[in-house]
Amino acid sequence: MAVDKAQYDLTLEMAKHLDPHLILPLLDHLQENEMYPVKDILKAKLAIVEQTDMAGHHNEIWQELNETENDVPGHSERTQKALETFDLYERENQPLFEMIKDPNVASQLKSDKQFNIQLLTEEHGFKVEMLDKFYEGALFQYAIGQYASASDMLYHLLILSTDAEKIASAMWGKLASDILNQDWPTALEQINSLKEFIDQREYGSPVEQLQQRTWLVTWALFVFFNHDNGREKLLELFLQPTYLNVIQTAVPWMLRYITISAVIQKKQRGVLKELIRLIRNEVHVYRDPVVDFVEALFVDYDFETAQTKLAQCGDLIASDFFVQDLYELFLENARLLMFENYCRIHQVLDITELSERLNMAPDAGEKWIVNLIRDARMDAKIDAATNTVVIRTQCPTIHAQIMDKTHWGEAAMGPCFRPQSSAAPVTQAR
Amino acid sequence: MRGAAASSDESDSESDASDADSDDAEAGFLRATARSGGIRSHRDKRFDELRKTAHAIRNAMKASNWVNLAQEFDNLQKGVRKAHLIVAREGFPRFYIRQLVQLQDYITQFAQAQAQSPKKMSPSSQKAFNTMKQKIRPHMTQHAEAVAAFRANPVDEEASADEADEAAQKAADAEEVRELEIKAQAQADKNGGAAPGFTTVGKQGKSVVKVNAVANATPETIFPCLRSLMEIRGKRSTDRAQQVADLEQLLKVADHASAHARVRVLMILLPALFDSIHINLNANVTEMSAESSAPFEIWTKALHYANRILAELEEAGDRLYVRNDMPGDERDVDEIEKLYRAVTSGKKGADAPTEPFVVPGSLLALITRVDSAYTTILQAADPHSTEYYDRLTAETRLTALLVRAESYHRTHLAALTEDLNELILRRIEHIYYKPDAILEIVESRIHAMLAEEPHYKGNVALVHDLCVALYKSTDARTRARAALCHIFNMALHNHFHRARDMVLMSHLQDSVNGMDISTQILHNRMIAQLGLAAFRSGLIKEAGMILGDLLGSGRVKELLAQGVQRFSDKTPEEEKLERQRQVPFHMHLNLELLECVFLVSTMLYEVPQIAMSNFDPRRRLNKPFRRLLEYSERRLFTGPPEDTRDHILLASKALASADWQRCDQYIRAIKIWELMPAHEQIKDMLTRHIRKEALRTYFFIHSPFYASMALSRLADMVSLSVREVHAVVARMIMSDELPGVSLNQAEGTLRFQQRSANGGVVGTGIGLGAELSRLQSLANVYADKAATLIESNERLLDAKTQALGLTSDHVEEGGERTGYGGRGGGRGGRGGRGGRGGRGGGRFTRGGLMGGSRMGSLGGGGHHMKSQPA
Repeated sequence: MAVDKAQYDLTLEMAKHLDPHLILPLLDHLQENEMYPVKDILKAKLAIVEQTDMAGHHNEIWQELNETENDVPGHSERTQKALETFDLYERENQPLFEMIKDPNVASQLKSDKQFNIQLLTEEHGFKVEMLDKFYEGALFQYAIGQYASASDMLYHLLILSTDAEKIASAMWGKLASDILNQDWPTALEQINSLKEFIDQREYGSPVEQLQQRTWLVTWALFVFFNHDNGREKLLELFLQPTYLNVIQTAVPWMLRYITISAVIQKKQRGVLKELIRLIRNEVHVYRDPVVDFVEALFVDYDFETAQTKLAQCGDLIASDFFVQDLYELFLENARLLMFENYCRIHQVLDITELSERLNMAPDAGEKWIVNLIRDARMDAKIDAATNTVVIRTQCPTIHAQIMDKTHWGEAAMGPCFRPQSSAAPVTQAR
Repeated sequence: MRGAAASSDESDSESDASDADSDDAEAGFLRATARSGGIRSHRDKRFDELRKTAHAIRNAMKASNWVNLAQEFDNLQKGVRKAHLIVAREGFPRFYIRQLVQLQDYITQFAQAQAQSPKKMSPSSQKAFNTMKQKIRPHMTQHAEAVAAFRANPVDEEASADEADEAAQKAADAEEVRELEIKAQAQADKNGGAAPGFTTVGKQGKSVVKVNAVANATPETIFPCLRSLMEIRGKRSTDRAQQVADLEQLLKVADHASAHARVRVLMILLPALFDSIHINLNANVTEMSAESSAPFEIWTKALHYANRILAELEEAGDRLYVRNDMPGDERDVDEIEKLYRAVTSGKKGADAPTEPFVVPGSLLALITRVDSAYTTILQAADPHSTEYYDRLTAETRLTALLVRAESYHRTHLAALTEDLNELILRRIEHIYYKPDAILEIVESRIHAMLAEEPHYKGNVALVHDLCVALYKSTDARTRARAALCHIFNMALHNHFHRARDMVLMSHLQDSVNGMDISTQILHNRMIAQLGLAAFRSGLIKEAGMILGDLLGSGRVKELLAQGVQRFSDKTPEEEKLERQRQVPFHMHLNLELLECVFLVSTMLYEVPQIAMSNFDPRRRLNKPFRRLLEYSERRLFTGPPEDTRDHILLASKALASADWQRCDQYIRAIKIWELMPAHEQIKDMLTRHIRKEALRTYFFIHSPFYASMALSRLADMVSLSVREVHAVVARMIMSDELPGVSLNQAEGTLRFQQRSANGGVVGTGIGLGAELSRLQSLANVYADKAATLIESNERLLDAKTQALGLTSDHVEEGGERTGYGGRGGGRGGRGGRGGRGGRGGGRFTRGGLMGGSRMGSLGGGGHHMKSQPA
């Protein structure tokens, strides 16, 4: 079972584009789900934590891995050193902090960076080197897992700094901090500003830009699947041509998340169409049950396959870090999609078969359909004698069609009138 | 013409220079590799005239005929002015300067003699003498430097290289020996003289060269011999075969000298060999094969010598290089030779340099020349003869040479990355189209030839590795060609999706139009192969689309460079170029197969479309295929199918009547499938497609006559499973191809909508045609056209008057079927926007109720307002 579960696990793929700190929650999740042997995960975690300065966390994992109560060798030194560094940065950055936090100063600041720096330099004894220290301090805060204060410091740094390299780094740092701090609205803003930043910045090679965009889409998953409006925003961002390109070239597995979001947000216009096109193109590169489900439903119109795939989707979604909470939502919408397609094709539906297709008991299926009919979402009747649903489709006669085409509802808006009304402004303007 | 003139200029000027100073001679060695045959050039003609005039001046001087002298001098000046272009390029010829100097000397002499013992002169002579004195003065000042140089190093006119040159021009073959003597004499004279840098030719050189330069050459006299051979290269009178023989003789002599000498000889020998390959591509095949066996032998020799150079260089290691990017050695070749021998023999002389010896020249140029000559040789052979196969076997050796050169470049000339890339590219171009089985043999042979460990990892892996190395190249053409070969190779191995993704990602299709023709041909080959790959993977529609451009053009042969179209309106020059571009036969893609694939793909896509378009004439049609069908329908008498095309046309007819079995029979009977690997699977794949398309066609043709059809019967009819039939039907319903059709799941049937009360058939949009009366269908079409017209009219208006700003989302809001309410809303929004200076149209989305005239005025106001800032 454990192996089977891990079949659709994308953690390894994602980790290539993530910061160590961001990988940790994913590993925690894997541990909870028992997808891999615990030891392996702990080892991986340990390897990652070693890259950070989170001495306490490091110790805990080490203890867990080795099943002892003893501290990891060198733990006290590490802690000591971290504390010292912490104090050092605290002291060094004190003046700047005070300066920024001073309401008088804050009120004087404007959006012009040069002006601000000049102002601070002239009136408050600000030095550019202070910013460098400040940056290092923020890095350290992040490294020891103090994401809130790191985010705060980076925010100020971004206001003041003019160094392009530092700004880029700080923006990524801020996004990571906000994500780890679970401050989703801020993180969302940060994603937008990063996106603009990447679009505008000049890169030495397109590869570099591609890499940055890949990071952005991967990191954004954290935000999009936690923010209330996230799915909508995800589709908005990912279906842009530039990002579609990125996804196609670098991270085809992103198809899963797009598909899930699109199924949930199926009301959004054109999304499904776009998704189907994407799936047709990409299915040879990446496939999993979610993608297969949509493919079976919209490309092959093979309902049986769709049904089996939908059943598999359950496991997949439940075990995926990002979309685990969306399980119910996805299932409901997927059923609806299937049902809609069914209705479009069929005139008479067998309830037993339909329920089977939707992975429901016949009674539950009937209830579900009754609910749909009651909510006026479909024009159909249940024929209890034959245990079928009869869908009434109203097709207008050819007369009605032609009338519809030429009449447009009101006589005054017909094809004779429209050219006139278009011409009117032109003639008047003359 | 200009090119030819320039190259022979070079050869002549080089022979001018070689006598005078050694580093020009060095340059000559180099240039000799680049030049081709010699023609008597414009320059020679001009200089001959000048020489004649100079001769006349000398005669006049001897006779002290001042009148003639003055006249001839004027002629000389005229001649020089005529030749000013040449003069501007290479300076004044030496004989001209010499003439000036002599004349000046003569005048001063004469004036002195006259002063000591005056002689009586005729008045005209006196006058001419005076004008001469006047005239020559400005010239002397103009050429003061050259004159000074000449005086410092006077060359007697007999010994002058120019005169030797002239002699060579006039000389018949018999005079060649004499000419060599003259040159040797010149050499010897100079050595005796004060010319710097020419101190090393020993006494033997003088004595040996005199009789027969080459036959008696010794290791010490190699370079003088080489020089003299170079000088006559490209001359009309030179016997190329003789020259090659001479050079080979020299090479034998050089066996006793150093590697340096051998490399130098080889660097001359190879171009000389290429000079002697002559292939007339315009000749017809039989003529060609008759005269072209000789070139192949010469080419084999060239291949051998190219290998020899590499061997010498490999052995010499980092002591000796052939490269162009370093400053040429200032020293004389003989001196270098001595030093080289000193270094290699281990005796460290005091002045033995530690840095490597550099022979100027380009290894790459030589090797690419071998490669290109091979293509020409293949082009010249009749592809159906055994001869062609013989030549083809040489490709392995050629590829081995490329591999060898590549590894030499890697180890010794790593700095010349572009050269290395070019070599890799050439190698790729020899392997990318080869099937696995062949490539495996070729590669193992190459490894054996180069005494390497066999490390063949498979076709795809090999091409992939080589191509990826080239993607880092800075040269766009190299990158593009590597990518094209790579894609071709992937398509060849049926990795259609990866190949297609690469095409899309590389954006090659955008840039290929700006590239050279050979790259465009490669691109077309790639597209053709990609289409075949799509077909083999069962992607019929894609295959048809990809091949459509190529096959639809009617110029496939030209686009793929696989044969010259007859009766074309090209000029002979264009035709000649086209012949040179032809892809060798063994690389050809089978055109008949391509056409077959294309037609079958279009058939499967197009026949159901035609059946459907009986109801809906708007569908886009594939013109070439349609034409073909119509043409076959017009034929009064149809015999049994003979060629591929006949088969496909008959199959199309069968498919059009939904008779899948007959269609399948015809398609399977096509012989050319056998050229495809795994053709049985492909036939099976086609059968599946034919069944489905027949089913579709059946619906289109017969649906008007049915109220319901049982899925199981349909499935029986086309031998598909019920599930597959269901999928086909479902897709057709979803894509609105079968209006008014739905499935009855309980009965397992397909239901066609009941007819409505008034007898019309129900359905959206298209309607099932057979039941529509003529009037009804015309009215339907008319209504559609009117709507389109209005639509486009409004779009045009919007474009013209952007100030009215009907944005696209407004149009979207009033969807197609919602009637005019929404549409009017869009217009209302427009008026509102305009009138209020662009304050969001949202408020007015329901403004369809507003009166037309009012809307008009608002719109007009908006138009006015907006036009002001603009």
